[in-house]
Amino acid sequence: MLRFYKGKKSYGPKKKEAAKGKWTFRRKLKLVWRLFQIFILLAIVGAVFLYFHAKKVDHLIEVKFDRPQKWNLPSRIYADAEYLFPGVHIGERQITTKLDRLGYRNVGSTIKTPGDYARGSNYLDIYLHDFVYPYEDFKGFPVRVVLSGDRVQDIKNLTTDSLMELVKLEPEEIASIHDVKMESRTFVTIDEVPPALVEAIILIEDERFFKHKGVDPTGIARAALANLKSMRIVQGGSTLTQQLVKNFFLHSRKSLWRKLNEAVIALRIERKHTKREILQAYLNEIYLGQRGASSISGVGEASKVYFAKEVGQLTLGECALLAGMIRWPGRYNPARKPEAAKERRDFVLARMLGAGMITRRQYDAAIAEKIITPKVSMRTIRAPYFIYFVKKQLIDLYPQEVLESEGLRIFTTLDMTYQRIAEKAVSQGLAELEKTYAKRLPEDHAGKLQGALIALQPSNGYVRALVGGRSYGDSQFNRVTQAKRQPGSTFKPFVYLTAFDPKRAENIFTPATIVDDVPFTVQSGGKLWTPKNYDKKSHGLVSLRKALYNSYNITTAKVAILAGLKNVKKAARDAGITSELMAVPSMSLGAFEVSPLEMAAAYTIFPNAGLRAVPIAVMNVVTKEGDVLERKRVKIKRKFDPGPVYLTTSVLKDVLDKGTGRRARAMGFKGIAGGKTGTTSNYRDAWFAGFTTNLLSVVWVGYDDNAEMKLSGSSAALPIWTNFMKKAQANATQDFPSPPDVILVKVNPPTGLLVNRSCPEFEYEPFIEGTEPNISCEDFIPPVDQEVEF
Amino acid sequence: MRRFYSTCGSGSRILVLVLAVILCLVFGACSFKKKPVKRIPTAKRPPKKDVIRPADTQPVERPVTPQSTASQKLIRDGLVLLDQKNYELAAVRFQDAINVDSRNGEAYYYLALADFYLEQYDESIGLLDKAKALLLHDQRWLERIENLKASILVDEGDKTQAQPL
Repeated sequence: MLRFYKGKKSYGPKKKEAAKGKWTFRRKLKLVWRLFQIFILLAIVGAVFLYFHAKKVDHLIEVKFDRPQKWNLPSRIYADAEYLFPGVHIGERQITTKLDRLGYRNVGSTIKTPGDYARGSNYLDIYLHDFVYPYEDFKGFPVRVVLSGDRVQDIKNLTTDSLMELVKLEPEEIASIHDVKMESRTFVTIDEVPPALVEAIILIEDERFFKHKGVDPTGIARAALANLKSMRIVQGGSTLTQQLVKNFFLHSRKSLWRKLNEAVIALRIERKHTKREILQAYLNEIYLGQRGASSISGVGEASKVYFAKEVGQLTLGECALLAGMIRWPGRYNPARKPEAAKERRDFVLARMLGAGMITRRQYDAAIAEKIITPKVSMRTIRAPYFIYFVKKQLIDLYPQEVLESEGLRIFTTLDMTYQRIAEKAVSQGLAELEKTYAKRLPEDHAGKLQGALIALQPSNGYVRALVGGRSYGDSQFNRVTQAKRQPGSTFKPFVYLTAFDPKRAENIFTPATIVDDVPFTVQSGGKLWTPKNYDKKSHGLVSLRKALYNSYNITTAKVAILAGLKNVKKAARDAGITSELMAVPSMSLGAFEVSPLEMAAAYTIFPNAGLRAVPIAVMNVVTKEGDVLERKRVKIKRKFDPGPVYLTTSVLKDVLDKGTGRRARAMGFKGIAGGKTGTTSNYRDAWFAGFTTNLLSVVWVGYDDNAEMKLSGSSAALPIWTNFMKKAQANATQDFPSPPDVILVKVNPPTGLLVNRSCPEFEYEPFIEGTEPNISCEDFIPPVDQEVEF
Repeated sequence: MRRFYSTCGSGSRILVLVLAVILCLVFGACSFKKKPVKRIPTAKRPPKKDVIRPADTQPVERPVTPQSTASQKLIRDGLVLLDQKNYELAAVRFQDAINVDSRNGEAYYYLALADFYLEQYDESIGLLDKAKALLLHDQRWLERIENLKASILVDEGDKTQAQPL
């Protein structure tokens, strides 16, 4: 710099120019050398970086893409299947709503393809879906359900034109267990995908797919030109491989680095995999919309969601629409934007016609196709408390990561129709209670009034409905399985069952036995204990029948002591109560805490004539390949003789007909049923447990923090039970069968003895043969001196 | 002869008369004894019992309903599968038959049979108990149930309890 300055000062213009040139050359040489050095350095650094990046990419491809199972497939939980047969009331069973939930499409007139249904004035046509059940693959076919009013009259197979005794509707998916990506996907092989769909996708998304090596410079140039011409982005230059890479390995945020990575990975994938493999991966990976919180990924899932079909059953028009949707799934969603979807489909079809992929005739037919989609439903988890219960049962054998990735199919016992009725009964029932009894309920209570309902099928222990609380969003605490509450009088049937059983009780009792309902005091656990009746009155001489259906505490406690508290405890254990119980007098009035699930399981002995059914929620766990990993079997076991159970059940029927549960009749429940109310001291818990021959349900109402609500079982729990059973068991006309050792004897109710002229009032009372009275009513000695010792 | 007769006749008449009187007295006494005697009451006469056996009034044959027909169809399907030794799927069919008609005792029996073939003995016994409770009036079915129970007990090694009918 100094020399240059000096030079500038001392030399003339010519010399100055020469000097400048000499210097420039040397400087240039140096600069070139420097640049060369930098270039070499950068090249080395770049090569090293590229080497390691390629290594990393290869590793990434190896780890994520080269494995046989590329995606985490969510496990799916299904409700039980539904049978339709003559006599079924499709209104009561809400069949059309069910078809909508199952993704069937109401096509209005003629059913043509699987997933279609049409309702006529006296028929319901259904084209059944294919379904892979545990142990069998079901192929769908069209059926006509002939109706008489709303009741099924006949079922006809429309393919063979023959009558059928029954038909099975596939189970509903009630939840899926996703990983953090929340992708719903049904894996399909390329052979399962119709060629029309593959061709349409290639045509629309990457015409030169079979010509490039992962990145298509021609395509990029063409897209750039098109974008330049329109002065906006109208075309993308990404190949199918790049799109796959973006969705599978990267993210959708736009950046140069991502674009570069996308290209590198695409090139590496193309080197290692065939076009067929890449195409199959693309068909399963591509994002095709959103359903609730989870995304619809892949054409297999999309064809189910948008067209209620397996991908192989798609028509040409549907293939074209699906291919067209890839670009902008939200805009072309046929369920939400049918016009835009039709426009897009027609555009794709026109391109296909132009490319010679389809004939003019095919084109015309596809254009004429009406786009019919199933009813749009946001995929929220149905029966969330039940799902939680199921997951808890599965988690030991199948950890969370297995459930999130292995695509297991879990078949449960849930009856979705009952579940929906139960959810409505609980939420409406609690709201109604808060409105009606606003003055009785505590003011400004921190938590809301809660309720729970469980319904079991007593014949096999299937959990048919489960509502663990008012709102799963507000509280995930499952009051059916996790809450331990005092059962109050719902425990009493086990006292009477023991007393009526000559093999269990220390003294023989019958429903006609007369006991004096007057207060008494016993010493229990070092303290004096005096049971009191709910109405704070004593009722004098009463039969055990009356004492149970009116829920008298004094008599019940007395009977429990006389029958043997240890025997009562054993009976409760045999029935299935596993919670802590102590053989003390207060046990007879339900002082020990149990869960509603336990109580429901224990009550199965009544409609089941002494057989206890173990509750089952999961029937089968099946792999995505269809192998059955687990099958739960029906477990029923004889625990009680049928005779004493029948006697108890006959009294429990009176609870509804003339006892504390008679409000159910006033509310319109007409079915043959038995049940028992339960209210705990200080009105902290309200229960009702009731059953028909076919369904048993237990309802609990209370506050989570045990606050007083001043509501009894008959005013709080019974209305919810009734509203549920009225809809679920409207036609419960089957009576509980009488066992052979039970006889009906004409007795005089006030004495429980045989009728004669002096006491003509009578009733037929059931007895286990040999325990019936042999003396007439005039010889009645009131049991006033009956001693109660403990 | 006449005299004889007369002599004989008067004697025998007397004899006949005497005998007749004796006989009258004897029969009279006997008939007198047969008349009810008013006893001194020692215990009350047992009062009349008016008894009904509800189990006897229940029909042996269940009425055929669409529900039972549908359930029977599932049983027939299950039996075909049993013949094919496809016990798991047969069990599914019988289970479905119970779901369709929970009072179909035959469905419980066949489910117990499928479980027996699958060596699920505990489950099988429980199901047989249920089948028995529902098929109580059908001797043929009761025999089958007891025979299957006996087979289960034999298979379980409990031969002391196994007493087929």
